[in-house]
Amino acid sequence: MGCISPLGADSAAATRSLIDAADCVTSVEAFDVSRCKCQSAGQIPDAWLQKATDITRRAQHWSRASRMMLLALAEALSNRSDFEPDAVVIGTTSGGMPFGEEFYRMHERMQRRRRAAMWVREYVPQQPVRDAMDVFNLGAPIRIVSNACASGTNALGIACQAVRSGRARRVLCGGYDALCELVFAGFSSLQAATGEKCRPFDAGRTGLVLGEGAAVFLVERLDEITHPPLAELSGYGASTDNHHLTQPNPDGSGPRMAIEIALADARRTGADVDYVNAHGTATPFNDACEARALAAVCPQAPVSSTKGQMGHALGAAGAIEAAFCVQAIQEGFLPANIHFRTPDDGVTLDIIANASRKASPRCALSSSLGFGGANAAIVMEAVK
Amino acid sequence: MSPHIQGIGWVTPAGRDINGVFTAIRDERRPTLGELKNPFSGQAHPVLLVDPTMVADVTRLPRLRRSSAISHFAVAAALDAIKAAGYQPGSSRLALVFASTNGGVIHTRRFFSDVSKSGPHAGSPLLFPETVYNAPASHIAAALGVTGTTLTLVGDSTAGADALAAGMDLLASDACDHCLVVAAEEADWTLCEAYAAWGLSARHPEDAVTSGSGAIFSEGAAALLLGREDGCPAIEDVRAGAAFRSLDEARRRMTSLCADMDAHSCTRLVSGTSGARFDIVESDLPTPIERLAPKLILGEAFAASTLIQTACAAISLPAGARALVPAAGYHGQVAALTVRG
Repeated sequence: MGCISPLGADSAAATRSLIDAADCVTSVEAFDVSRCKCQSAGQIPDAWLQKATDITRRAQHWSRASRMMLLALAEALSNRSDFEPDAVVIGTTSGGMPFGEEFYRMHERMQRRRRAAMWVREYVPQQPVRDAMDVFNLGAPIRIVSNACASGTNALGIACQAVRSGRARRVLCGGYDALCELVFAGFSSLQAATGEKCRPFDAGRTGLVLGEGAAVFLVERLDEITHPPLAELSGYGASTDNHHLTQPNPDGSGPRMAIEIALADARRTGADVDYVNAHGTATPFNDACEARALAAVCPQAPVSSTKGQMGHALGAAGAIEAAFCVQAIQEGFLPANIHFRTPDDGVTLDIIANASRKASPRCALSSSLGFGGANAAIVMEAVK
Repeated sequence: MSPHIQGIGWVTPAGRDINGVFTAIRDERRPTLGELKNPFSGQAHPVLLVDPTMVADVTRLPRLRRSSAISHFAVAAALDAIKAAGYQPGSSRLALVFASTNGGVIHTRRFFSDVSKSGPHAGSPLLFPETVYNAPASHIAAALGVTGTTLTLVGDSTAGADALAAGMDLLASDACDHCLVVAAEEADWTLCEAYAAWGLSARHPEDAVTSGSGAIFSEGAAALLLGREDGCPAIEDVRAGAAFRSLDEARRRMTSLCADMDAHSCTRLVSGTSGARFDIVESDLPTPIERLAPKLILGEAFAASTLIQTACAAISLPAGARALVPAAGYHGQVAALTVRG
């Protein structure tokens, strides 16, 4: 497993930030946000991304997304250099959008730039994955899943199904998304982004902050592994909510269906869940809907959304949050739900408020909700 | 199990009617060329566009009034495939796999134009949700009441083949009883400029029939309803992606993929040649008795074109005959599939 996020340049650093309940959201300086209500995001420092050029000099011309993918993949392969996937499934929402922005602006300014062809090639969502894989001479077919903010979770679920069914023996899966102006403007336009702290599940929550990052996993059958596994990916469920393009059905039926399918797939019940890493964007609609689903399926499980610490990494969120679940299982703690003050009326979830907890979770559930009514959930367990 | 193609729908620059469009492809009658112009430079690009009146029935649906053309095309093709199959939505567990190469690029360009002019606070909340890759899938799901798996895949032309592979996987895993596979594209001047910058587009319409001189870009959608019921053409095998770093490697990969699929026994090749330099990828494939090249007639609509190729194979194959459908993507992958009549 490899993970780069605002919480850390690798999985171990992120774990320390999770245990410390660190707030890693910072002011946006990459573009002018002075007239936006929200002016902050979870961002990966340029110095961390610069390390990609230590791996390959080609990375100096790459997008942030390609660098993130490379660093996450390098970490994942650092003790599994023998891992040769026969399929790759990666989730993303915005791909190489900053290059698309540059390309549009070039035309708007009536310029001709030599780098335009490179921007076009790098704009395509599979290119960051291809860039990273080329460094390690990996040539497996790439499937890009773009189910909005559920993409990363879908990618892990599809990998799980592919390995389980025997259609693939080894799958590289995960997600990436880099902060970009278009998407920042998008959430700003919907008034979904907050100018205050991101407070998932809090009664006074006012919206999300964006984030970025990448996480990748090397998935293979338990009976074929040659190295000790970090965790078992035991269940996956997906569902579609037709209520509205950008708002979930308030009754929680969409995420509830995905969670129930995932638990059934893992042959578990809600009572078996020791930790839920919730989607928890801190928008009024998302958290109310998701809380209803969780209260119906696993009301006793401790719940946190880690988006208060690092923002919402969109198509990468599900993969990054799955990595946090694995770290929680491995290191024996439950990540915190920071900036939490007051529970929502009628919501009785066990929110892991403001500080991480020592615990020994063996079964973790991660849920994701996306635009377009895309819902997905996965179950991860300690290996027996 | 080979899933059977139980219904086909498409929206193309040559029309929406299955027989009419297929006849145009078979008779090599290209529709009238349109043009998209870069408003800043005035540069015009020849393109094959869908007549918007062709999808007027879906643009009247409440949820689609403000959506982009790609969603109109996708929903129209999906509804046609469902109707052609005689399928009643809600009668079985229906999954949806949607594929696109460029997504809702018109709304994306319009949204970013406002942002670029006035700043990130100035984007339209009506446009942004339609810029998301899975917006068309969401509209299809709403139109058909899909509550199970809905998956959006993004990639080059090979994403069409990958969507079929994903649909086959969903059927094989018993996650659904039927799977609707849809791919759609919409044309925009930014795309024309992008592919021109990449050296893939034909500046002059007559170039597009001369292999290697450039493609004419296009738009539209295709939809295939897959199910287990016998008596319809079946998708036998999909090899959804083999990576390449050079055209020569792409050709070798494609040749190898097709050899693995026993391409020599196929009596029909539904070619993916578009006029772009990637056409060389098919140069070592077996020469079958019959050959169709839909992209040379309907233009290059990426993932949607691959489904149109597959649909052409299904429409035209005699019972028991096999067709090969190759797809060479512009972004480093080749794919191929076989259809049995």
